[in-house]
Amino acid sequence: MPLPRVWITGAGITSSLGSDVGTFGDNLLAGRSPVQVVVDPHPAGDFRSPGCLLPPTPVPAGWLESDFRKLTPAQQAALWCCSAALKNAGWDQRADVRIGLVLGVGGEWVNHWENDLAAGGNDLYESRESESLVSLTRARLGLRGPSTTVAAACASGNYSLAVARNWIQRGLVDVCVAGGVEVVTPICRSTFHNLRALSRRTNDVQAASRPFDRDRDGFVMGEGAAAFVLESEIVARRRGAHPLAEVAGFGASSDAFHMIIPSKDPQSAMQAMRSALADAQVTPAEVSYVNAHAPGTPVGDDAEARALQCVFGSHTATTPVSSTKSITGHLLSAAASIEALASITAIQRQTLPPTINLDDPEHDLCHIRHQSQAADVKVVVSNSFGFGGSNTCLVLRKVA
Amino acid sequence: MLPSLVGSNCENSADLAVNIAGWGYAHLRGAEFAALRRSLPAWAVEGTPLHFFKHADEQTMLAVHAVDSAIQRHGFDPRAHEAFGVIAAPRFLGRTAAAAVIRRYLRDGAQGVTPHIISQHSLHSVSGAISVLLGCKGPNLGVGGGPGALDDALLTQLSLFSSANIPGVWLVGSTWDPEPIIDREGNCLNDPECFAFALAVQATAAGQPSQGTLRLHSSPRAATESIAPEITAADFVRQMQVADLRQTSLQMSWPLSWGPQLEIELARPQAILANVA
Repeated sequence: MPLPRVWITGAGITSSLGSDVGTFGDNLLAGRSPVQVVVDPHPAGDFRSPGCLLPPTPVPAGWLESDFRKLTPAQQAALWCCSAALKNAGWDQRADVRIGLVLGVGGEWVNHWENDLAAGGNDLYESRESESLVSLTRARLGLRGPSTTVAAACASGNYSLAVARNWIQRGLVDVCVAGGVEVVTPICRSTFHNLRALSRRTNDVQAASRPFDRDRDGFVMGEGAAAFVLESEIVARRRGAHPLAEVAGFGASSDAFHMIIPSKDPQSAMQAMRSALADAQVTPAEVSYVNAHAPGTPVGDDAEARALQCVFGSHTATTPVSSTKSITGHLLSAAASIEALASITAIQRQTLPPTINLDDPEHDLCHIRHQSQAADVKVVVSNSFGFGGSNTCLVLRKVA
Repeated sequence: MLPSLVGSNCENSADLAVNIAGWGYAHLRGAEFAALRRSLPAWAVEGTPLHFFKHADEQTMLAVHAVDSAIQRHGFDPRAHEAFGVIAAPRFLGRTAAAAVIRRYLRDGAQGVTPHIISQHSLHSVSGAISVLLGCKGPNLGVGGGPGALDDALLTQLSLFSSANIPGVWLVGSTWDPEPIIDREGNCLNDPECFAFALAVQATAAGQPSQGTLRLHSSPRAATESIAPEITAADFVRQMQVADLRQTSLQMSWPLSWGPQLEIELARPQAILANVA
């Protein structure tokens, strides 16, 4: 028996581009990047880096602002996004439904210990059994299905959608909320700077994030969260829900090469893309748009460009590609989720978001540069790769 | 369980099971890790640098040790696992390393922060390291990370990879028990022990008896939402040790808060050794 199709019927976001889907889409398609110089003050010397900071997260309905602000920024982001997605999908008032929760969160505990210590806590030293982000979110939202945290570094968000889709197809849940959360700490920014992964353009931050450009010198850190409501086509049709997109395919592989550096051999990344296309039963010729992982690092963009050229072959020249990290920054654990929303935006508005700052493309791809472009968007491929050699590819399809 | 909205067939489909082809485990006291940091498993892919574990978390090293235990115990050919995926469920990974990094940051600022804290002590780090060392090119991901990590790992194995187009998965879990207590200078004040297990999840070849089963059973009982005692990787490893000592098979089952029950069954050791011979 064929597995049921799974639709996305709701979305929620908090990010530097906006904390509602409409504002995020407007800013994304306008190519408006909120990048700024982020200063982490320190007695030994302030640290400056380009970044896209999360503004205060809106307070979900039913919460007192004073109570909500007692939560950590990551908890606020997760609760807001999941609440907004459930409301958007029309599932916010149902207590008798098996709703699951999957969140992509990579550095949860290291960030927790850093934040807890800064707030005067002692979890770092004594390891109090703190509640996880996913457990807290599930409890506060009153969800009754399973929940889990998944992490594949910057590919985490794609895994969360894959797990959620699978739970629905296997009958474990009726509805599942899935997304990714990233709130960056000073130590996190320092780590990526010391890895030489961050752009050093603090004197020209608007030009700092430039994926696929010859002058790229690293990525710009972003923070935020995005969450989606997934349900089977059967359930969604029965209740008259509006589908934003179908989660049509997923593929994943590992480089098995290095803990940080992506392999120059494109075979593993190609395998993830080909698996996702096969899962979705679409050919490269049918892909309307590729939302590339392309963070703006010299090595990462090269590796992905090679893989795209190999997978798309003769269609490379006509398959539009952009990296929305040029606008949003790189949201690490939440990157794939934000980019899934960017892909849904492309489907919903029939407009392709651009790669901004792409003045001098290094790779022969069909780049959408500087400005968004109207298009007939039916099938979108969203690549996300991460530390540990993870390669993932998500295929989203317009629901007719 | 709550009734399914999509019909009775889907309720039955929530009974999921996978075959376990082999397993291993390891445990070490905190003070014993120095030697492990300097040794690579014999099966590490050619070209692996000898300093691969230099910045690795203790749970990563022990998880690799558990995989090695399974490989030795069952006589697996590691090269046959190239297309395997890896799921790793550490618990509170990287706390000691985080304490050192935070101490350096507070003293020296950004320039004092090691670039390895994210790559080596995040939730994905254990699965990434096993993938690199074994040359596994299937998917690799971390799950859980905190309380309930073992449940998360087993559920992910059953639901995500039971349908994936890959020949097998290394499923590993790790934890400290008790958790290390450290002072502000980084000294460990207690005697913590680290535990790790590894399950090779793979369809049984024709003629080979199953070495174990992992199952999610959707019992008809209602979801309790009660706070049942957590089953951790340490509990699982201790049960494996007991089964080894007594030369018995191992059966464990426990309820999940949202309704279903997890069940693990592992064959008794003699049967395994006979198969290897």
